Amino acid sequence: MSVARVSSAGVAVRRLTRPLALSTLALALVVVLAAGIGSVRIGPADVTAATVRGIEGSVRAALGLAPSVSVDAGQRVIDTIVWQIRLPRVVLAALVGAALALAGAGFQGVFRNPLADPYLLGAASGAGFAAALVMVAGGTLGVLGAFSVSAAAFVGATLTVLAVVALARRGWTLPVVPLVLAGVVIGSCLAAGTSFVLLAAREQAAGILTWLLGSLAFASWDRVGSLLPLVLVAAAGMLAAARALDVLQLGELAAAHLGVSVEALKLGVVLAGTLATAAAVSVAGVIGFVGLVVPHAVRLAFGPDHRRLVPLAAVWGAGFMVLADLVARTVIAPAELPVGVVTALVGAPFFLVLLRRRSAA
Amino acid sequence: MTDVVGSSVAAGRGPTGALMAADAPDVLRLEGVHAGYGARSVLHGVDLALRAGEVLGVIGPNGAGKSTLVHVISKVLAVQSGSVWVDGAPLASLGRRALARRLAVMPQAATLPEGFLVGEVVRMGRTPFVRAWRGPSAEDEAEVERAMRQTGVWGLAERPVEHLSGGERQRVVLARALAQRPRVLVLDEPTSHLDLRYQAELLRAARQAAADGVGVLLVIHDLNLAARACDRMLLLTDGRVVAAGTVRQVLVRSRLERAYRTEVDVFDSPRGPTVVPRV
Repeated sequence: MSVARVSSAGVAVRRLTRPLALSTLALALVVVLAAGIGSVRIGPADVTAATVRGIEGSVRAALGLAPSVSVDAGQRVIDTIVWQIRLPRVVLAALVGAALALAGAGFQGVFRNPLADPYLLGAASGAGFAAALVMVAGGTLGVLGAFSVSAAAFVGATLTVLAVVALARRGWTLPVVPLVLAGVVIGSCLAAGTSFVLLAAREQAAGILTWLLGSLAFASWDRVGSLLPLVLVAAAGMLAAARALDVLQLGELAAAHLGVSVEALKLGVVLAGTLATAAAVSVAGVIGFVGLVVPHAVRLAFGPDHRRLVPLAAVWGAGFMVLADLVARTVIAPAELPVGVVTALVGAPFFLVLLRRRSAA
Repeated sequence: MTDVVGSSVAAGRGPTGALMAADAPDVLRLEGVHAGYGARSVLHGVDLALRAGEVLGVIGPNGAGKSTLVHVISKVLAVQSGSVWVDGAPLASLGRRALARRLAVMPQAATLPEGFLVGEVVRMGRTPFVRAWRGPSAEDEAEVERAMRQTGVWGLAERPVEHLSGGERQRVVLARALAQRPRVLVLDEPTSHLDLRYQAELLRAARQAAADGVGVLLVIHDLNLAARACDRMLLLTDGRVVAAGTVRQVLVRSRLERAYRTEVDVFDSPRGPTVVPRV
């Protein structure tokens, strides 16, 4: 296997640097490509130039300096399209994809089950129910203004998972089977609540449904800014847990024998994954299959150890999401498909192929 | 009965014929241990002393408390009363990592996660030594290599674990335990499902670990393998130690018939007694 090399002492070690560097490069290309495609086509060179000017402009504004010498009108249009419209959306898509794939990788590791996904513990149903309630109530909550639905979704997702954890815990331990069962049961209750809201509030039903299916149409640099720190914290937590997650694959008992604090590990990964999931859902709605398929595919391609799986899943999740959103906003332009529909349409068949190959092996 | 368990006992003679030092330090010691699950008590006052350099067999019928004993020693299950010392330190004072640097467990029916390479699995044995955000040190790598060579899996380092035979898997799991460089090695039914050659291979590796100064606690159903691998034995029945001492002191027909509630024949030979149930 080409992924293995021999360490100083001669024991097999897999590389991380090269696949991560190549994957990140591929992600950068996808981002530049996606930012260039739309009603107006913009070449990669122009996208890059506009991005550099956009960053320069933001830095100048942040430092209180005057804007740099104005460029010609045509270029200003391109700058606006790239920097104000397309890039926030592409970057937000990348962050959402990275967050969901991170959470999926963590949940699959902690539940030792490749079929686990970020919504297993009810985060999606909790976010959906809370968002639906706020939309029925008029869409704004006091000072939160335009961020009300996002805030409600974030709180709904987080509270749901905390309730599931509280229900499933036995003293200071968090047994996995009751945890999953509690997640499924509470998730079903909240999904039923959302269905009821949809039926009761017919006028808002279309808006709620659009949100539930996931969309990145409301992207802005503000939303990127609110998502980024949450995703970074979750990613740091997941990376810190990576080695212990590897050991956990030996079983909870064997991991304990090797000095791993299994209960703390499980709780930490569930919280980090929930943070990432809640953050992603709050800005983009419920987007399925990314958190399930991406970590799974990365595991097949690069092997199961989490020190590689976690960062690579984040990068690939970002790239997958950018491409899915590109499809969502271009295939029936000027109308848009819900991006959750695209990820499901692409993800489901891909996942079936994986399953078939797995059972054949 | 406890008088023959303690380290005060006179030197016994191991199956290798070597005279064991009676004054070797206890690396594992239990005194009056009661333990169980919830209201149900399984162990009722177990005393045990394991010296560095010996293989101590724990035998007994199903449900006697052997697994519970392993759980207590590995701090997966708390004692209800009584005391446990590992390498001189009270078990209660040792954190998980600190315990894992002193005591390794080769679990019964270990799972090896699909997709991992043999070298990666053995390196997991260094988990209690590796610091967060740091890679394994040169010492870690050296211990991994030593453990893999000792168990004969060095050549398998880059093989995915799902491509191993049953005997190879058990040796990989043993290598992982040895990579912890433990003072106490607990082997929980290490030979089940192995054929004769691999049984012998595994128990030779256990004896080698003892020769290197590790205290080996061998929990095992097969009395005849136990008779050949152990220096001393402990017969557990209904959560109590009903016999302890040398192999010939414990594998006595009347004791075994009482413990296992079935008739047995015990044949003695120069290599140790052989126990066969009457059917």
